[in-house]
Amino acid sequence: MNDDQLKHDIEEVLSIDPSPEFAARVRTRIAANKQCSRTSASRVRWSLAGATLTAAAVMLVAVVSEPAETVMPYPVSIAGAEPKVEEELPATPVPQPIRKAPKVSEPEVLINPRDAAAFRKFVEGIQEHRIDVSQLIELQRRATESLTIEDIALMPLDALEPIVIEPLPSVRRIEGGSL
Amino acid sequence: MQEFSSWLTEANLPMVEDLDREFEARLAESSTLAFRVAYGVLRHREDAEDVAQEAFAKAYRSFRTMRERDRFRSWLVRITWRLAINRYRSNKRRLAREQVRREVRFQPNAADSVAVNERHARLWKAIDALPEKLRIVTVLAGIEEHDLREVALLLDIPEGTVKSRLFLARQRLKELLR
Repeated sequence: MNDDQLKHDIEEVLSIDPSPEFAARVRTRIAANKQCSRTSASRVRWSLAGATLTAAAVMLVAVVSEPAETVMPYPVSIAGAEPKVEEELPATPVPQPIRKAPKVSEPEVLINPRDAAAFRKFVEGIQEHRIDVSQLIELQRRATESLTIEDIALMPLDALEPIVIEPLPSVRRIEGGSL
Repeated sequence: MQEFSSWLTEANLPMVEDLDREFEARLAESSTLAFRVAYGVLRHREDAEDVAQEAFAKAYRSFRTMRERDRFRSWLVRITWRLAINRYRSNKRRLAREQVRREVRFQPNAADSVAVNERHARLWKAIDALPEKLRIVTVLAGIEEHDLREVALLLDIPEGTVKSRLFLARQRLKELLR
């Protein structure tokens, strides 16, 4: 067998074409993979959102369950601890008023008291195990399961009608004279 | 979300439609090549089409981030060959497990005569016996009608290397087919 015959035989056995539906099947497979990846990406987003909410709830529980810090009142100024007065000062010293800081036991509440009470009940519910936080995630998941996010179909530029700009009327006609 | 979209703009990523159009053009120009590369290993139409489909699916997933898209054909050939080899080996293992002593399936062409089919079967057996580097050069040269420059581009090796491997492959094939 010579080289030419061998070359010819090899080209012959490899001169086979895919079926006519091959390209269409590739497109279908790619489209199916795209759909799967979009659905799983949206599920991941919602799961992350649910996980973030849970983490926030757990942090709040941790913050609320910490013992309240007692705020020390401001130090009272003691008479006699003042710097020594000079000779110009009057003979009888004027008593310094004792300043007391207001007692602060709780941080200042900046939200609606009813909302604050409701939130405290929620936190107590978690602490007393009356509310199961893990179920919140499950509810979130079920609620978002049927969500389908569709692609925004952009209008092709060809479909837009061109903007027609009328030429300006000649200046001569308006002003009745030359420029 | 707004930060993400502004990141996309800054990164100058092409629109999805442009990528799809470009990929469609690549599919049209390379589908036969991918199929023939897979067929060169598997010698079974359906298996070859499956493997070629898988290669295109992988190609699509990586297409957006592919740095040199003009080397798409070369990338496709390599990935198709690798997938075909893996499928061939897994078919072989499956056949061994089923304890059926069969040679690699070769689908004879019904239109060809018996003699032609026998000659083709012997040729395939000889090609199978070649080491992998010589086999791929032989298959690609057969697909590309022995345009060695094209084969060198597809395999990303020098043209001289293609020539020497092809020479060795032909010597071995002639011995096996004697």
